[in-house]
Amino acid sequence: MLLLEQLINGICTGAIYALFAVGFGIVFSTMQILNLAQGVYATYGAMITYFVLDESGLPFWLAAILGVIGAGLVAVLVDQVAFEPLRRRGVQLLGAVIASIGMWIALREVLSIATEATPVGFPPGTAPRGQISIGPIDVLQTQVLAVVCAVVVISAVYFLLHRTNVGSAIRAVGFDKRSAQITGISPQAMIIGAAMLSGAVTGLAGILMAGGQSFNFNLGDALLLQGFAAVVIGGMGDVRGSAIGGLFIGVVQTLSASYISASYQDAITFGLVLVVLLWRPTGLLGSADFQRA
Amino acid sequence: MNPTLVLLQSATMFAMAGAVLALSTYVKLWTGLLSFATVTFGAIGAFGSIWLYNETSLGLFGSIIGAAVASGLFGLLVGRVFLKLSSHWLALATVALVLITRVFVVNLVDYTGGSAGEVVAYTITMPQMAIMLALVCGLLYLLKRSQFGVAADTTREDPAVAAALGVPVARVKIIAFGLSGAIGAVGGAMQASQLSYIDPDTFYINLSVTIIASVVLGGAYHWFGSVIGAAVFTGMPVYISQYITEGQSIINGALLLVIILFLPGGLIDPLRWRRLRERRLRKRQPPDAVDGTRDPAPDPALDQAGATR
Repeated sequence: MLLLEQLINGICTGAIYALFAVGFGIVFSTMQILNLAQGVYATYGAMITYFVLDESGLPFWLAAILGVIGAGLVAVLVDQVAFEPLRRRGVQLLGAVIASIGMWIALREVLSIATEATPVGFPPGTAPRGQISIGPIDVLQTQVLAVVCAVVVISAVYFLLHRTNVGSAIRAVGFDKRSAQITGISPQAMIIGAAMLSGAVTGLAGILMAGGQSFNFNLGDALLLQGFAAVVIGGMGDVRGSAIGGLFIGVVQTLSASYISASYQDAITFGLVLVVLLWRPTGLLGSADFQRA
Repeated sequence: MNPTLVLLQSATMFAMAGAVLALSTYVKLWTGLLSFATVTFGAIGAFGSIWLYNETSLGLFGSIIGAAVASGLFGLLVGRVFLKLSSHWLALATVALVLITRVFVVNLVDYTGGSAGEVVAYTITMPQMAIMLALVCGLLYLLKRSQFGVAADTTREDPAVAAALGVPVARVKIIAFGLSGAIGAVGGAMQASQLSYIDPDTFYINLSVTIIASVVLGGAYHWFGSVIGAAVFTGMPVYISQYITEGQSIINGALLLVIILFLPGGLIDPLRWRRLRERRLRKRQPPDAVDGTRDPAPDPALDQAGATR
């Protein structure tokens, strides 16, 4: 029974990582940017939700939607301030990484000042707390919420990117901006749209992560690391790959913590990342997309 | 002593430690490898040298050299293993390495003090730091002019062409990692001495970000850029913190962004200087110069150098 419980815990954590990884993957596949500011979007999602709940007392779901939109807008801001000028001069790997680090540090400090670096938590009675019993197993409401949100949102993102015209346009811009433009697609609109989508999905991951606990301006940093592990293992730029990678990381972390060594849990996770990188640099499910150009 | 002077001294010493760490990253970037692994090397250097200093009779410099050798060998190993990864993937793998390093620092309590951290047993004085920095700079100065320097430049500009020209690309990259390991360990020891107390978070993501920023913003095309970058990004904050207590990171982040947008080659950019010099030269001798004895056309050699980037 313990194994089953741990497995469920792992899947619930993994669902959040999966959401984050999908958000990360959207930016990576459409713009070929390794965006280290991605974790900040998650923090902003959670923090905006917290401030809305704390100041206005709106219902949780409404506050969460505002948080998600806010995170999306932060992502657009980062893209327009940091990445757009670099794109105009032709993206360089180092330039984009450094620019994203700059935005990461600055945006994180803004939250640190706003909260005076103290941990905050969603006010009691707002976020769903408490347990649900499914047969002999107790799970937290936040965990169920995380899994449901992840499944719904990731499916929606996959559907959007692969089954709609807008999705095709976004992927076309990611593949070759100029050719896409020739067919009448506006790269600018697609890039902003992709940034918004990426920020929103990541923001949701942040809100779910913050759900049942207290958190501070660092929230997104841990997510960035785990989400990045998920993306590497699952494959960059592939929604299904990122999602499966996230689940995998969540389960591996939880199981290795309880069965192998809690203190070496991160070493096991990131050791696995190294092994995958060296064995299959494009991820277990990743296409060779990034090799192009 | 005058408090401002003390602060200035501390800022200078932090800048010197930062410069050595930045140079460790620069050596890898020289061959075109973006790597965060310097932090790992720094951790080996700091914790290793403290352990050697406490447990053996090697003395200060012996301990640092011992740790540097160990870290250099580790660097060779890392370089060998990571060899086939390129650009983004190498950066990601080295980030993973940094994360793993922290786990080991936390868990190897007997050698590192675990999560509680460790008091640094030795102090490196300012002249000693200056000598160490000078030695590292001297080494890079010599390397720049050596066969290795040419091979490294070629490898960065175009590995395929370099390989076709007979440059042993793989070996150059592995050696760069080994050098980076040894230099990074020295930098780590200097940083530790300056902090006088280190814990698992000392050598973690924050430091790696500062180091990469120093190298890229100082100028990734010349080793001196790393020294200047470190002065700006590790020395200056120490000094400025007396005037600005809050929001300093916002300034750091904005500074990073502004420099990368407006000076993509960094503060020390030999190529930009050459271009400026060339433009000045052309202005001084306009094409319609009455003199007419000298060819007003720009030196083709300079243009060629410009075209490689």
